[in-house]
Amino acid sequence: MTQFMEYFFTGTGIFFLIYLLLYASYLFASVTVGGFRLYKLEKMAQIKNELKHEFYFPVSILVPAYNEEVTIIDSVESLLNLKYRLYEIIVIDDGSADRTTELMVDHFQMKKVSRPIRRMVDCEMQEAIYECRVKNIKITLIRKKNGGKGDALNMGINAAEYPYFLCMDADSMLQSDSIERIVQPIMEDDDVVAVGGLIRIAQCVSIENGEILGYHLPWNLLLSLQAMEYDRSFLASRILLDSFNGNLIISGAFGLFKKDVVAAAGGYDRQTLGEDMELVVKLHAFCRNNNMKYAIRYEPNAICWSQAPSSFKDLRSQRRRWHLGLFQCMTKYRHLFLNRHYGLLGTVSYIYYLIYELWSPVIELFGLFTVALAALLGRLNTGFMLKLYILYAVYGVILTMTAFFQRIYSQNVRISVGDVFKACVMCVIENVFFRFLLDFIRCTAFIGYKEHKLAWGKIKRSRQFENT
Amino acid sequence: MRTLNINYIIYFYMFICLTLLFFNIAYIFYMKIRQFVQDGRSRRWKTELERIWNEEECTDRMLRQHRRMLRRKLKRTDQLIAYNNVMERCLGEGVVSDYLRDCYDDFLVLAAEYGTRSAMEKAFFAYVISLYHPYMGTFRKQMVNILLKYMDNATVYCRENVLHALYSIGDAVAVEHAFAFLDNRGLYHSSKLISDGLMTYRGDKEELAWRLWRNCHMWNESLVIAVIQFVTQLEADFSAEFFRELQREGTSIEQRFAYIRYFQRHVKPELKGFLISCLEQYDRANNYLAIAASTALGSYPGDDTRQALEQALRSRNWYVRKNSAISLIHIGIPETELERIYGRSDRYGKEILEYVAGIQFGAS
Repeated sequence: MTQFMEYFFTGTGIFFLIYLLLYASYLFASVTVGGFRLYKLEKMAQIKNELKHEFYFPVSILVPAYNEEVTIIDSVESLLNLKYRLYEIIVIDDGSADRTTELMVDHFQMKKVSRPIRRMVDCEMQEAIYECRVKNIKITLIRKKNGGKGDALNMGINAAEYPYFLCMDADSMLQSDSIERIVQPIMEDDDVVAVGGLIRIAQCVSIENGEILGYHLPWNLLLSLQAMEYDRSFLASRILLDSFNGNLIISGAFGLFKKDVVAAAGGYDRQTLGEDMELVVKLHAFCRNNNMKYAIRYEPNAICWSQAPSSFKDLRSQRRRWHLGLFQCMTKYRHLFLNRHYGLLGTVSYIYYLIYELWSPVIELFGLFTVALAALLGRLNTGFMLKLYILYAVYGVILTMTAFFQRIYSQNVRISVGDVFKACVMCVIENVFFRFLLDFIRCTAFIGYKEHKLAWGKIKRSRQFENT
Repeated sequence: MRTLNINYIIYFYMFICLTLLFFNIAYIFYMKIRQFVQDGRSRRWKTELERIWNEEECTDRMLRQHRRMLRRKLKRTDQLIAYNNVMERCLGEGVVSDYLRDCYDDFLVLAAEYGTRSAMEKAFFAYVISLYHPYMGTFRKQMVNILLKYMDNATVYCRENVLHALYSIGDAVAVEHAFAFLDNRGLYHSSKLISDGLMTYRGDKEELAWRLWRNCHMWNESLVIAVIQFVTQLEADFSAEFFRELQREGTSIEQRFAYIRYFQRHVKPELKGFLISCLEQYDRANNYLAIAASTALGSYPGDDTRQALEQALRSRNWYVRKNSAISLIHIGIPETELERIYGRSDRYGKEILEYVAGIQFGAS
């Protein structure tokens, strides 16, 4: 027995050493690559290395909505102020139980039309279609039977008139130059089939007509912690994966896609919780299996401000949904794993998402369990353990702070001294407490999986002016 | 022993992590200081340029000294940025045009100097030339040749800025050479960027269009399509040439699509029959032509057009049906005819026509 425990503790120790070293290296590489890319982009903009053009590609903006009566009008109004020449807005009401449709129809004086819709990808039937033009921008509202977010987006793809579509959440807001920025990779390279933008937290910012008026860290602890976490993951991690076309996620809150390729691949999966990730992995697999030259890009200067959950209940619901979506996607596309045909995608990207996203809560809780067991058996080197933990936490704190301030600086946002101090504190809390809280949520995500696996993820919404 | 080794690893990671943090802090401070210095440079250039532009104060000797300074200082990208900050605000003033004409030779020297720099710096210099050249008077071959060399081993931004510089110089031969270069090297440049960029060409656009057209058949398809799109935006008559290409068997679908769009904008009644036949001879291979023809026919009113479009409302292709409905409403269809179509048994044609007619009449 003693021999077995010896092997167990030694094996676990070696495993965690490798696990943490790899993660630390990944974090370091992602923050370094992310930082250099941002600084390079900044320099390029300064010396006019940009594709500035009067007219780009026409884009259909798809806004799936489910019980969004609080935010939908503000969101659509904000979309009418974008600095872009040709786009349409399509709101898909996925059988809301509230007044989403009525408010849209009344506010924009929309007229009911009998528009036929071409079925390129599967979705539930429409119940009513309304249209209007505001500032010469066509707004379409499609009221349909409830079928989930993927289903609503498929309806949007079917109704979209332009060759590129941009999906976003009904509670999100775009900066006035967001579309101009997100189409840039398409102008640079014809093979780009999808582009992801940067998601930031809407409660941290005051926006008027698509322009940033001010940035501040909210007093709500959960929101501030998420602001730190978003900057680290969206900024750093995705830039690194982008460097070898290895991004497996484009957030459903802000992504641009080439319509015909998405339709050929079958559109959004209607049976998954992580329809955004599923679509991106599907596009990778589709393009590679058909020997198509393609690229899926990430554009950190295209920014979308999205509402983050402000209560623990909402956060739990959101993260549970994300984790289950990740699980469904990793399981469905398990053939990518170490498959040479998929190159770095099947190795670096897949393994990262598998170990450090999907399994990490279990691994980290197992680590805590082992520490407790070792302490119980009197085999724990407490001094070394504490030192390791503190150093690891400090490491995480420094990297998170670096990512946060890189973003603040490169975006030319001014924050107060108080917010700088607050950001430093939040970086500490995020690394020593918040990540374990998220691990717990993710570990318990599978409870009630079967009953709720297709439900819309809902969080309590607030109107933009209430945040400021 | 193992604990010691692990400590080393941890300290090593801490070290590189702290280095990264300090690098970022240092970088941010460096950029702040740099901005401060840059503002100072801009102020000094403003004073200097105002002095030179003041005709009463400026002597030949002062101008010569100023030009020497240009050659010396603008070799540095930071100085060029500061200089350009001031110039961009003043372009268009008469005195600036005279000044730029006087300094043309200096910009030639600088162009050669920037030719040895990174693609990013070359792109910036090309941008500067695209702004200044319209005020510099007639072009010189040396400038064009230097800019063309910039395209070698360049980024997409550099190529775009060079193309813009060439458009603003207004030399058709140079533009042609640039496109031939893109083709030779197999470099992708969005046809939309090219066709819209060509519209900013400052020379004779029609002459350029003919020149490009004569040569573009040897180039890759996206360049050919860019040329067709450019011609479509002009008033020039390319109908004979385009019609010949449209009928040629080897012409690709994408090019034919572009030609038909030309004929949608430049109406040639003698082509109506051809467009109708494109619509009527719909099959899977030719569906692109039928889609384009159904849109173009909206510019060719007449009974035969109406009949063909009405027939196309029964097409298997969704876009053909939709475009035909839009064209039908556009060329005008009597109310009785509409009622007759609504009463027909084909649901798809009826639905799309009802929708398009509803929007049209609703809007009016």
